[in-house]
Amino acid sequence: MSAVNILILIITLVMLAGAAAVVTMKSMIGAAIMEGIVSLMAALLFLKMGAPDVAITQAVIGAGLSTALFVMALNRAGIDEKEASDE
Amino acid sequence: MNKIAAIFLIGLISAGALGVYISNLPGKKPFKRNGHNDISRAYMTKTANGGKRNVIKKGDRKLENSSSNIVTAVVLDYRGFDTLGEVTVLFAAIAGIGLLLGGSRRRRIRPAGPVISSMAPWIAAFIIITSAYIFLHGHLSPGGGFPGGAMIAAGFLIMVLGMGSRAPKIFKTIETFGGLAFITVGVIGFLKKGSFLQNAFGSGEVGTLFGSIFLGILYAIIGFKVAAELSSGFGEFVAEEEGKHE
Amino acid sequence: MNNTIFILGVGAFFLMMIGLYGVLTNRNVFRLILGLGLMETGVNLFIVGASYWKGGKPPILGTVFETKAVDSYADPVPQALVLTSIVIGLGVTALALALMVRLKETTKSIDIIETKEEEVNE
Repeated sequence: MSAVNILILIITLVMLAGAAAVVTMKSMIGAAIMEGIVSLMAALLFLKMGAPDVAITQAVIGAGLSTALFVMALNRAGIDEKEASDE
Repeated sequence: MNKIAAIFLIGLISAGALGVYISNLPGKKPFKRNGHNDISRAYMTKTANGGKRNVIKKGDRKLENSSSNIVTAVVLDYRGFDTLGEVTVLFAAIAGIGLLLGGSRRRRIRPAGPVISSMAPWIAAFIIITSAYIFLHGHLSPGGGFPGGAMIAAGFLIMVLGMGSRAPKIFKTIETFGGLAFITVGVIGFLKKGSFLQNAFGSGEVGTLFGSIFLGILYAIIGFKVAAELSSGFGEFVAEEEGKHE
Repeated sequence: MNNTIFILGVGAFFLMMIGLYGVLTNRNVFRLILGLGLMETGVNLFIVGASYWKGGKPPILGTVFETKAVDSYADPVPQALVLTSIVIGLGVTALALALMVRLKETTKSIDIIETKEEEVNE
């Protein structure tokens, strides 16, 4: 295991933990923000894989615009946190 | 669906797929060659010097396109038709949003507090300047029209949320003419060189801003089009009824 | 055996599977859209990760101008595919969210099962 491998392993684990938080979290705005973190970690992985174009696009679109879009859509639809929790 | 059933199903899929994946990892039999396949190699050498496997040097001139960034060359030149289709899909999605959310009633957007509303134009200005750099240098450095356009949209979103201004009407016009301009560049290639979206502007020196003017024009068109589409599409989500806040 | 490619592939695959779990177990439309977004990120990572090898440099001339330059670049074709895929994903997500807003306006709920029952009662 070289240093690069350990870095990639840590980033991957943070990304998977964020994804698990998206699926299990009660608050919907919190889940949307965790999805942004997953996208940011994916962008770091793209950078490590020698794909800086894809990394920039993923960081701008996945971590920036789409998180804002999720929060704005929740606001626009007027969904409160309490209703429509699963189960 | 039942949670236990879902976990069981996912475990089944994982076991099968991981088994196949691990038995086919690169470095084992089927993927012995640790390198590019022929198509990628052809794209990277750009058939310079009659398709021989020579390396591109600084100052080379007789290339198919003189973009430094090979991903840009693939996206816009070799697979330009793909990109045209992609821009069309994006246009269809944004048109659908306008159809679903664009009501007739005009709603006012409540501006934010004084700190945010006075800082918003400065932040937006810096974001837009950075994005102009990103999509003008798409053929020299990482970046390009798609992230640049998305960054411009983010800048306008900050202005809309912070100052309560609306996306101007001219965005619809840019959106329309962007697609037309892309097709026009393609048709120019067809008329001058014989196939749609072929490089009709020649290629200059590698690594200079005006060396690959063809890719620069295409990425500028895509940048403006994506920015206009995303700004006007996301503006529909921002709209908020008056008096609803607090 | 290439460790890095193994970590990347398995990580991307588990991201896909977590997204699938979210899609299967939730009835809330917003969470379905989030799960689809996770799956999409996983697929994109997998495509780029499949073309990675150790020491692959960004495919940009000007960082490397050497004899074996082309051999040291990462594969540009999957990167170009994923670049377009990400942007299309944003458009699709935005369209799905617009549909969610309309659903909430017409049926007052974003739960897929409750929505169905209300339609039957009408």
